[in-house]
Amino acid sequence: MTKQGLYESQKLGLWYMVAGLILFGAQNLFGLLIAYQYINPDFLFGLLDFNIGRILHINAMVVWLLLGFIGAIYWFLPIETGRETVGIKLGKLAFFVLVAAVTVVVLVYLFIQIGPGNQISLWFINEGREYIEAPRWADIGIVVVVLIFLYNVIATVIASKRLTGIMGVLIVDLVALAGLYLAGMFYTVNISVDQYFWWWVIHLWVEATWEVLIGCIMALSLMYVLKTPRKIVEGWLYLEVFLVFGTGILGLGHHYFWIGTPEYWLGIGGFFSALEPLPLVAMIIHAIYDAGAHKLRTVNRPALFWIFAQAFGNFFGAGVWGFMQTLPQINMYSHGTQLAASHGHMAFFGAYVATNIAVAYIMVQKLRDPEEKYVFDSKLWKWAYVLMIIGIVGMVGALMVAGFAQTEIERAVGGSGWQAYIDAQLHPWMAEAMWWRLGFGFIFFIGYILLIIDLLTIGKNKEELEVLPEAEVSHA
Amino acid sequence: MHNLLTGSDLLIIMLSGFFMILFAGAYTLLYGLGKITKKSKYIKISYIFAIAQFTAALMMITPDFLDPFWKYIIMFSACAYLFIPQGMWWVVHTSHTYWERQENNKDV
Repeated sequence: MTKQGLYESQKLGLWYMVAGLILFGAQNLFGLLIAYQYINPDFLFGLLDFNIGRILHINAMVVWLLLGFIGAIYWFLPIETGRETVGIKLGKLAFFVLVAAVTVVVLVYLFIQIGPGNQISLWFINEGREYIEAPRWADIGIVVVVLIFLYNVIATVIASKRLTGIMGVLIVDLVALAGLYLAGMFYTVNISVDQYFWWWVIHLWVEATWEVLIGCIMALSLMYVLKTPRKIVEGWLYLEVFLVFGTGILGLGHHYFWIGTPEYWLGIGGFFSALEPLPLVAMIIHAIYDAGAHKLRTVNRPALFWIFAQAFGNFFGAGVWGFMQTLPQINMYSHGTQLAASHGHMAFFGAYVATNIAVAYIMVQKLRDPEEKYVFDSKLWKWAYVLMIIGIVGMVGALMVAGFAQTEIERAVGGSGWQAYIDAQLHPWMAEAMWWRLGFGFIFFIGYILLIIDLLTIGKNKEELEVLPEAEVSHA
Repeated sequence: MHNLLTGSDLLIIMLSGFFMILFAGAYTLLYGLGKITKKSKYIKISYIFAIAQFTAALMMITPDFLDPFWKYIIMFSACAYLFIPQGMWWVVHTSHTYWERQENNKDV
């Protein structure tokens, strides 16, 4: 253990979270860059084109979220099992390999960017699949890192002889997480078949395995932040797994509507997608109950409020924005417009970004207040919280208006022709929305800067903190 | 399913879907708030959103945009949303009470 009473595993978790938060900054910067290029396409044209910025924006998001999730699990694993993580040295090696690999991939994206359509490009530059553009060597590296992570988790649980409900769900989920990624690594010349399996990674990762992973992290966080009894969070986790997998797995069909798959996917995808918001609405009740039952009494206010942001953000982003365009009749027109971007921004922020930030605050509290004598709080986190939420809601609103313009003018009225595309792009709903998106993007970025400053400073001045009543001080 | 939508049809159906889920969330939020604070006015207001949610669902299915299959799905969802707050409240409250009692007995 370190002098702060941290396990080596928790130290590794912290490294993962720090690397993730740095990448989060890169994601924001590339997001601002491409938002501006939407308004001024000449900006950095030929040097760093929109398509490269977009790859970096989205890939940085995927990787930073994964780093955060892995960091969270390494953090909670020793607490859950009561022992140091087995094979921690291997875990640390995997971390450095992953960070080095991400750095090399980013440098290749920045300086080499594209290559001819051959095996060398696929292996060393860009695999060519949207959202999972990482070259094949990096793909294999990601799978190896996840397998090492999986080994760390399973071996630790076995060595501890303590398989909790949360750990059981987590292990099954991690096997699915590693396995599904393989579906994005083989190549077929038939675009429909290719897309069919590509969605296994994109949809099933995000709307099934990630959701369950987040459920596990949330369960562990709630036990810490609100001291919710294990049986309650585990009971809720099982229900969530049932609902998320029950609706999310075949909800995959909403990506199969118009890619050349058989017509039965319209019914399957539509039915399960229509049900997908149900668990998200149900989660609102749980969030309110937990908050009310504990009268917002917590050891860590920023973490608690980011957990609330998660519950409501997930509902808005995935539920409201998702359902709006999930029926095949609508999706035929809205697919691939800014409506999808609007939905994606809100859902990822709500479901995943908020969770990672909550865990980051839990980690920082342990560093600055190892004995949990204080209620962790500051003024700055509130500014960061409000600015990031205003920023994301503003961006999502602007993209939604732009998406309506595209769906209506380009698709429904114009019939998706080239002239219709130009008409939609020039329409004020689209053109002005892009300015609004950029403005709110800056607000979000300011929120991010404040968040980082707060994470670096919160809890350092103990005189500003409220002392926790003796009865509630944890001596664990 | 085979009917192509016009621009205005599309707008109606999209906005109706958007508000259907948004109102379902508002209904759930206010219902939960009313129960946790024991203030019946929140619960009464929540029912306005329940009606609004159902109305938005009706706006999706009343026009001739969708085939019966899709209308049934939407109506099933709309009916489910009417009972989710009560059902989930019962599940959460019962499980919390049960497990808290178990934890307290263990402590004693």
